[in-house]
Amino acid sequence: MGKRLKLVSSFIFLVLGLLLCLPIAANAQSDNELTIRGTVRVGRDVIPDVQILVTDAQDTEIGAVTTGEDGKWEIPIPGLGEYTVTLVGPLPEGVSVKEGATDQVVVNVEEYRSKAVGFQLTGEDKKPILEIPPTWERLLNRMVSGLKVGLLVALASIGLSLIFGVTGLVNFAHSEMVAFGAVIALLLESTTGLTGALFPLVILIAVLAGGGLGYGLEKGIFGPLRRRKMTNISLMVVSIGLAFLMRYMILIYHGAEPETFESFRIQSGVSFGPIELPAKDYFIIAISFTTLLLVGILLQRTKLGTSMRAVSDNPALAESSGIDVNRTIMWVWIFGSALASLGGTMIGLTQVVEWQMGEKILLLIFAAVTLGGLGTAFGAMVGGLAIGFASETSTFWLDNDLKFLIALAVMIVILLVRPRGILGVRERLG
Amino acid sequence: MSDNKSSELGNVEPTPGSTKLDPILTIDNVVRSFGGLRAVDIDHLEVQRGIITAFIGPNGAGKTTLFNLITGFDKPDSGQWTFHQLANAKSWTTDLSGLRPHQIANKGMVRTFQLTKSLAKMTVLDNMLLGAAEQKGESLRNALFTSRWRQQENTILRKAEDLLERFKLSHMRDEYAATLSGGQRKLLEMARALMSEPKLILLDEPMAGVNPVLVESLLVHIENLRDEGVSVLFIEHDMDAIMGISDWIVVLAEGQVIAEGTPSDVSKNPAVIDAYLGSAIAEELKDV
Amino acid sequence: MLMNLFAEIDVSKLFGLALRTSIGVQAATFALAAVGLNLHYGYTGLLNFGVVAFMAAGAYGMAIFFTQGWLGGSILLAIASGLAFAVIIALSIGLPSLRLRADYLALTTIAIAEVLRISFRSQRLLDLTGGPFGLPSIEDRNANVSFADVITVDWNPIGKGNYGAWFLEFDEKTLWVMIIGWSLVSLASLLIWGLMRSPWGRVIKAIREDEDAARALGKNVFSYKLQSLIIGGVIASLAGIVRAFDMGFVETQQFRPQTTFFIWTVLILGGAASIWGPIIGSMTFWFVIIFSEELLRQMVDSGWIPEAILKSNDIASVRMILMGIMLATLMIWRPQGLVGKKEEAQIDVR
Ligand SMILES: Nc1ncnc2c1ncn2[C@@H]1O[C@H](COP(=O)(O)OP(=O)(O)OP(=O)(O)O)[C@@H](O)[C@H]1O
Ligand SMILES: [Mg+2]
Repeated sequence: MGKRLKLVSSFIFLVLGLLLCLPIAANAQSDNELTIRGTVRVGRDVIPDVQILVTDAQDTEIGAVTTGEDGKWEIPIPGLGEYTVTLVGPLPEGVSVKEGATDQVVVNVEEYRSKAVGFQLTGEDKKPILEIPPTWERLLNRMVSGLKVGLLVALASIGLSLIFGVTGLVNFAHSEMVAFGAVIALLLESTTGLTGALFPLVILIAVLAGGGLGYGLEKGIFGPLRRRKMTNISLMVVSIGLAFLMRYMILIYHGAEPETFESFRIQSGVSFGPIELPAKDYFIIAISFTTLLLVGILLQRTKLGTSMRAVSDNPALAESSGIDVNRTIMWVWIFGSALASLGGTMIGLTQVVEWQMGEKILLLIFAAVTLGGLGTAFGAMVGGLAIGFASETSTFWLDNDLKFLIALAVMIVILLVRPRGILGVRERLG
Repeated sequence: MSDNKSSELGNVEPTPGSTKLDPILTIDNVVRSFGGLRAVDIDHLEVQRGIITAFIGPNGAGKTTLFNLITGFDKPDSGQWTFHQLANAKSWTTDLSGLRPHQIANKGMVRTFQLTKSLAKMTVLDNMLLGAAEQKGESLRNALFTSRWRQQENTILRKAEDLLERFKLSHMRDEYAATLSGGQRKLLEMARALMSEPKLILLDEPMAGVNPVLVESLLVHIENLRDEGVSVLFIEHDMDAIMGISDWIVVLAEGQVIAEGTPSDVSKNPAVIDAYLGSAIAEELKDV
Repeated sequence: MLMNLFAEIDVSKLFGLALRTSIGVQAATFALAAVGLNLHYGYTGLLNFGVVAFMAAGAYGMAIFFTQGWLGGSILLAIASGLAFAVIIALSIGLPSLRLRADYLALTTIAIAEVLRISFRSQRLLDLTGGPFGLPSIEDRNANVSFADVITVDWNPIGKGNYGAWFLEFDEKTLWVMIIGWSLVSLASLLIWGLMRSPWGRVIKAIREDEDAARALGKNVFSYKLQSLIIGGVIASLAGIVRAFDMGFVETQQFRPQTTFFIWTVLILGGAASIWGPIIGSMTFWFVIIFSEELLRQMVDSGWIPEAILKSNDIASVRMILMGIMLATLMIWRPQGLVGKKEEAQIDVR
């Protein structure tokens, strides 16, 4: 009975701990009243002095504004519901609504937060902002940025695969662990002023916090439940619940607005032969690459790495040959979660930090891990690189909104024809 | 020692792969390897109809793997096996290779498992009822119309109760199968397999874990089955049981048939004694 | 202090709103989808994490057929095409993937559901699905024209007006869709009950317990799983259709993976592998969610919970957090849910 009590108390403890974050949340968040907002732009140009009109479902006018210097507009609305946003005009010479799109957008405001609305415009004789480089150069740049995304996905995926390897759990909360890293890093940067050259410290603390989160999850939830002989399927459902808990904690805590790291806000491109990337991308590629290399060395060369692989292969055998299985699993959680945190921070650096980060990257990570073979760290690396690279590079030929489809299609096909993945070994039946 | 069935065997040669008078199952060139290991590698084997045949062999000899192969649960690298539906009718045979497990079971060849597969969250009775073959109510077309399957269900129910009685499980009828002991589960699994009235039943270590008193009655059941015309093929490690009831023994080692014959043939076979039985058991066998 | 709280809380509104939602259309559609999932997971042991794919198939199949005006745009044919679409989805999920291990099946189904949703959303299908805007088109929605009108206006036998009292007052449209929804829930539950007491149901349960045992007894496991997937899928697609009639439009936002997990929570809360589980689960789920949400809202509005701790903006997120906690804790401490049998609590599918 003591065990049960311990389990109950640690669970409640964890939930309470997370709930305690709530007060901070309020401070961290700016006042946001319910509004509809947006920026009118054509290509990269913003368009000032355009009138925008918002009407409600009964067609009564709610408000009208003209866009500011920066093309931005915002109109308060009285409550949740459906609204129609109309671009009244006037549009500058040569700019018009894209074919197939309209100058009216219907939005359904379902949540108490401001909703962004955009119009699809084209400018025929507008000069492009940048001179378009030759095709091969653009493709090359796409591929380098594909490499970057691949490295990031690999970084974020290893933990999921390692944890599956040693425990058999498909952890749906893993992507929230990734988001956790990004949010913590952002919070650190904005509250402690560790910017610029001190930013690596932020990364370090975020990684440590990630490790701590992994420790907490294993110690407080998954470890005790595993010892209660709960099946991995049940634990998977528990992890789904946990994912929602974490995701919406992050929403309350971080707010709905996407934010960027201050240290990396203004970035000019740095050329390297035909390749031109923002400076931060070199930083990201370097860090991710080194980390992956270190992880490889750790797994191959150290005692911890050996025991991790041994437990993945056969826990019973590992146990009988003197490896402390529970300790190894604990380290895998710490290590995997720290890596997820690092991956999250890096992803936050390239894009934005937002509460939906986890949801967005979840299936990408799953795709990476199944492609490489569930349970193998090197598989996750290879799978992550391949998935990130393929989906990012595909945007060169395909619509942007289809890049997820590539990853998902790869995942489905792999699960169907070779569920053990490219590097995984066939499981033994019977 | 049961020699009451020797008539069916006639004077079959006790050599590996020998031809039987009236085989129910013939296996040809079946090979299955796991990586470098050839778990099963059988040139030719015939199983006689209407008798009890035992598969014996050391752990890892490939007995279970062979069962898995011929019942369709595993795919061989190569090989064929055929089922002879009718006695002495060599013409009416079915090629079983490549068929799926349920198709093979429906041909009249039903197996049990070494690790019992009782359906834990169903009652003992439901476990039994499930075993019956060709149930009308099992098709979606009829499921909703009780009148279409009620009568058959009652027949099956009587048969199930009969068998439960015979296997001393009647008192557990409405309990969840999860509550049964390991030995009782073995019994249930065998009784359930019998519900479909198989022509050939394959039992993988039916006595393992069953208490000695029950083993006695289990042996009687198996002999009764044979006397009712069911052919029995079983894997066992318990030498007393094997020598006691089998009419024919096939010895496997490292995936191959190294010997076959009546219990007395086998116990005298030096290859068997060398390769498998070891001195202690060999001593024991000399007394048989 | 406590007295103070009671004075501030509008108890009637608290219970009224919670009760209203727990018998409303939303609860009915969730119950219906959970009945479908119950056949998949509760009885057959299929880890279907793509419930929402079936709902989307039903809703979009119906909406596309109707708005395109195919075959004269009859609403009955449109509904039939929604159901047919669900069958196609079931086949295309089932044929390749039913042989997979449980957790692989879970990943495959969630991925297929997302593929479907992203495709519906794609600009390339704008003419067919309305892309991110959904159906009916913006012009039709501005003109208040929807496929739902045929059902909720033209075919509505209930005279115009409001019925009931207190918080349980519904207009004729809502009432009619509620009646349709709960009738479908009853019919579907009856169907499952009839199936599960037959020998067919016995095979289904056996497959949940141990596929290989069922195979060894001559049951065509694959075919039964496919049948289960189709029947459950069609029931879930009906949920999508009823929901579309209630809302008056379909949009990809309604079919995000979280809806699938809502339905899982409903099923596990009520009790998997029981006939009443989905119904009790859905009603309780919505009661608890709305009750706590409203309670929090009133406490925040009355200043009892200071703004510094929780803002009214964030109360909607608390709903999702509650769902997460419910799902996790139920799985741990009460896997059989409210009305499921403890012995049959289904926690170890392979
Ligand atoms: N799925 C598998 N993958 C790899 N090797 C396997 C597999 N199944 C069986 N083997 C190997 O094949 C050989 C034969 O195994 P099998 O289970 O058939 O032995 P057996 O004769 O039934 O032994 P026992 O008497 O212990 O039950 C063993 O060496 C086993 O390790
Ligand atoms: Mg064996």
